[in-house]
Amino acid sequence: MIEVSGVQKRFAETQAIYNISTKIQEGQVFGLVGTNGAGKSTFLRILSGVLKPDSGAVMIDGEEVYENEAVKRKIFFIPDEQYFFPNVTAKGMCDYYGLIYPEFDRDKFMRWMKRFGLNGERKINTFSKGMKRQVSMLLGICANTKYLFCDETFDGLDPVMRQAVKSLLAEEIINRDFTPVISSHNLRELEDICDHVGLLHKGGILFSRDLEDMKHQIYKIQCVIREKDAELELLKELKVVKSIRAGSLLTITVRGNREEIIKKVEAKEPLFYEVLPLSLEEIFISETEGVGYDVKRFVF
Amino acid sequence: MTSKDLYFKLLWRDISSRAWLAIILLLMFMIRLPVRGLAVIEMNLLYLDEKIITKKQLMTEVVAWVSSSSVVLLFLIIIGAALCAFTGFAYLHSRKQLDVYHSIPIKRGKLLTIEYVGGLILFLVPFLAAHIFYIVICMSKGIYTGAAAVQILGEIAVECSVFLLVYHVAIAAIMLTGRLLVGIAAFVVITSYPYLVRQVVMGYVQCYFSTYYTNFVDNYVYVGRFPVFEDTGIKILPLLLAAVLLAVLTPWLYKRRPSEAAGRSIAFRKIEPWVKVLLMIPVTMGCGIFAREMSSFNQDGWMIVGIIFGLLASHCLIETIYSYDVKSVLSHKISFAAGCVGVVLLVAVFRFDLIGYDRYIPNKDNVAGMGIYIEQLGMKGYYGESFSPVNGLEDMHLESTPEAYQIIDKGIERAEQLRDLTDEEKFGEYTNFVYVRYKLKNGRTVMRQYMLPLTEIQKELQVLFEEDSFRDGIYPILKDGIKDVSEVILNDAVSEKPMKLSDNEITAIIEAYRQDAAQLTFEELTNVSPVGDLSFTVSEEWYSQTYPLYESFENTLAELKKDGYEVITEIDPEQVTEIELNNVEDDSYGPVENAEMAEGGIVKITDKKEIKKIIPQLVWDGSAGVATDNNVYAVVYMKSSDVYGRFYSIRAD
Repeated sequence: MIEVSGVQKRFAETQAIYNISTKIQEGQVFGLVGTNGAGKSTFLRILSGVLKPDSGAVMIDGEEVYENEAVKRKIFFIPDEQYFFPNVTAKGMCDYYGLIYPEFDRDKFMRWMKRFGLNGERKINTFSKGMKRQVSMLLGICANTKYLFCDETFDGLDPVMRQAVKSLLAEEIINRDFTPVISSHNLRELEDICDHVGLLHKGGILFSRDLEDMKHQIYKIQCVIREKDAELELLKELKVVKSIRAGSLLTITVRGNREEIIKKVEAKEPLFYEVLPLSLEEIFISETEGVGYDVKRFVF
Repeated sequence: MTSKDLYFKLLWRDISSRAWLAIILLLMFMIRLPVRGLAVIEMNLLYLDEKIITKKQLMTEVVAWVSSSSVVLLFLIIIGAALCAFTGFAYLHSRKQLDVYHSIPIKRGKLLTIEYVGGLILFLVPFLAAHIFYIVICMSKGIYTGAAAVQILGEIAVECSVFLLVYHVAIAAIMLTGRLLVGIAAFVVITSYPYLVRQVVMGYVQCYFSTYYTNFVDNYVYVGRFPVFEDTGIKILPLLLAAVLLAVLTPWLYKRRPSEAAGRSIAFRKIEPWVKVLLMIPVTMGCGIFAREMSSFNQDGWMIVGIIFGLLASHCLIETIYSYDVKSVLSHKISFAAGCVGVVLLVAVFRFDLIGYDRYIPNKDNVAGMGIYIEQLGMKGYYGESFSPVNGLEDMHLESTPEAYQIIDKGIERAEQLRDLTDEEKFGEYTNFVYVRYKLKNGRTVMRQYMLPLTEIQKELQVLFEEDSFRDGIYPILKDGIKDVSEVILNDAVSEKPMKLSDNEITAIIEAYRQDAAQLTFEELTNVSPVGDLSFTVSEEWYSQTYPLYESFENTLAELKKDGYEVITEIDPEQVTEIELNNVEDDSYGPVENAEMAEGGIVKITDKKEIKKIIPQLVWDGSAGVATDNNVYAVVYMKSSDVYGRFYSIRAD
C-alpha cells in the first residue's frame, strides 16, 4: 500500500504540491487526474523517489521510498517523456532494465513487442512518439514490479493502442500483485480502467475516492412533473447537487441511494422520468462544483 | 543478482556506452606520445650521431617528451578529464535522464561511483597505453635507462594527479549547475578562478604598491610553466591534496543536489548570491585595472569608469545566466550591493594603501637579518630560472643598520609621493631600484623595493659599501667566484666578442677580477666610468653574470692581455665617426648646445671638436654608480669596430 501524508514540494516561487495526503490500496488502478500544472508529474516523481518532498512522507509498503533500493525495486516509473539511451534498440533497453529489475521478463517483453508490431532490433530514435510510448509501457509492465507509475500514459497512443495498453494493464492486475498509478488530464481515458481516482488541483488533492462508490452515490435524473409545487417539494426532498430546467424537462444531479431517489420521484407522479448514468467527467464536475471549484474551466 | 554483480555490470555498460571516448583519447595520446615521440627520438638520435647533443641531453629530451611541463600534453589531459566528467555526469543536467537514473533501484552514491570509475578507466587505459607504447619505442631504440624510467614514472604520477584534480573540478562544476552550458562555463571559471584572482591582485599590487618586490624570475617560471609542475617530487602533494578534497566534496554535493536542479543554472539556490559576489569582485576589479592601464592620464578616473562598467556588466551577465531571462537583470539588488561594497573596499585598500603595505617596516626586535641590493650598482646579466641578481641578498646581513633604515625611510617617503602619480609619471624616467630583504626571527622573509636615485642615498651607500657583506651581495663573484663558466665575453668600446679561453685561463681571469673588485672604492664606483665589462656564461644553467671593468683593474686587464685580449681603455676621438644622442628634449641641452636637433629628439654629432668635448661625458651604459642623465643616451659609431654602435649614458651635470 502507498501512504502519502502531508507531502509538500516547492520549486522556487511555485508551490507544486501542497499538503497531499492519500492512500493507494494494492490491486487497484489509481487514476490521478488534474489540469496541466496541477502537480501530477511532481507527485509521481515524489512517489518514485526521484524528488525528495520538502515535508511529509511517502511510504510504500511501510517504508520510505526516497533513496531506498529495496522499495524502489517494487516501482517502475514511466515519466511523461521517457529517456532512452542514445542509439539504443528496444532490446538494448530491455537488457538494461533486465539488469536493474531482477524480475524483468525479457521473453514477455519480446513477445509483446512482436504482438504490438514493434521491431526490437530497431533503434528507438527511429520510432514515432506513439511507438516509443508503447515501448515504455512494455518495459514498465515487463519489469514485473508491484507498482507502476505512469505519467500521461495514453499521450501519443492511437485509440487501438490505448485499448491494447488498457487490456495489458487489466491482464496484469488479474495475473499478479500489481498496482498501477496512472496520471492523465483526460478523464475519459481513465474512466474504464480506474478503480480509484484522485483529483489534483493547484498542487492540492481535491478528493480521492473509489469510482464505483462515486457512481453509486450520485445520479442524474431527467423528469417532467406536472405540478409546480410537487417539483419544488421534490427538489427539497432530494440532495440536489445541480438542477437545470429546459422547458418542462427538469434535469437534476442528486446524491443518495438509487432506490430511495426513485421512490421519491415516483411519489410526485411524474409524466416521465429516467435515471441516467453519470460519466466520470460529470461526476467530477458535480463533485468539484460542490466544493466551490468551477471544474468546467479545467477538466475536458 | 548480487549488488556487486550489478555494480560491475552497470560499470561495464557505462564503459561500453562511452567507448567512443576511449577511442578518441587513445588517438589523441597515441599521436602525441609514441607517434610524434618517435619522430623526436629519431631526430635526437641523429643529433647524437652528429655530436650536436650529448647522451645526457638525449635522455633529457626523451623524458621531456612525456613531461608534465609540456603544454600540449597538459592540454590533452585537461580536455580528456573534462570529457570524461561531462559525458559521465551530464545526465544531472537533464530532467528526462534524471527521471530514469533516480527512479531505478540504485542509490545515488552508487550511481556516482559507477560513472566516476567509468570515467577513470576510460581515461587511464588509453593514457597509460600510450605511455607504455612510448617506453617500448624508447627501449627498442636502446635509449631507456633505469633513471629515465623513474623520471617518466614520476611524470606519469604528476599527470595522473593533474587529471584527477581537473576531473574532480569538472564533476564539482556539473554538481553545482543544472545546465550543460552553465556547467562548462563553471568548469572554466573554477579552473581559472585562482589565476584570475592572482592576476587581478597582482595588477593592483603592481599599480599601487610601488614597494612590492617584482621577482621577474618567479614571473617567468609562472607564465612559462604551471608553477605546480616545477618540481615533481614536491608539487604532486598539493595537487593530490586538492584532488582528494574535491573527491570528498563531490559525493557530499551529489547527495544534497536536488533532482529538480536539472534545468536551473545553479543547482543550489543558496550559493547563487555568493557565487555572484565572488565573480563580480575580481571581474569588476579586472575591468577597473584594464581601463586604468588603457589611459596614460587621469588613470583614477578611468579606473572608476572601468569599475562601474564591470559592476553593471558582471551583475547583468550573471543574473541573465542565472535565470536565462534578460528581464531579471534588475533583480537581486542585495547581492549587487554586496558586490559593489566589496569592490569599493578592496580597491580602496590598494589605492589608498589602507593596509600600510608601502609603509611597512618590521619591528626591529623581530628582524634577524637584513640586506640591501642596489640595482644600479650591482651585477648585470641574463637571468635564468635558478638565478636572480637579488640572490645575493640571501646571505647579506648588514651591520650598518642605521644607514640601511635611513635608505628605507627615504624609500617609503618617495613611495608615498609616487602614490598619486600616473604610471607615466612614475616610470617615465629610468629609476634606480633599491631592494630590501628582511629575514625575520620567525623564519619569514619579507622583500620590498624602493625607487630611489643614487644621488639621494649617496652618504648611506658610502657606509654600506665598506661592508664585505654588502659588496658580496651586489658582486656575487667576490664571495664564491663563478663555477662552470662555459664562455667569457669581453665588451669594450670597439668589441663584443666571446674569448677563446681554456678553463685555467677562465679561472685566472675570475681570480684576477675578484682581487681587483675587492679594491674598488666607493669614490671610483660613483665617479669613474667603466671601460667595458666581462660577461660570464654559466653552461648548465643558461644564465650570465656581467661585471664592469675599470681602468684601475690592473690584474684583470693584464690577465686578459696575457690571453691576447687588450681592452680599449680610452675612446680615441679620431676613431669616432659619429655620436648620436637620443631623447634630447631641447636644443639647449648642455653637451650639444651648438648641434642641430633632428626629429624625435635625436642629435647627430660628427664635428671632431664636439666629439672630443662629449667623450669625457660618456659613461659605460647602465653601469655602476656614476650619476647619469636618466633619459638621454648616446650611440658611438667608430671606424673599426666589431659592434655597429656602442651605447653609453651621459654623465649628469
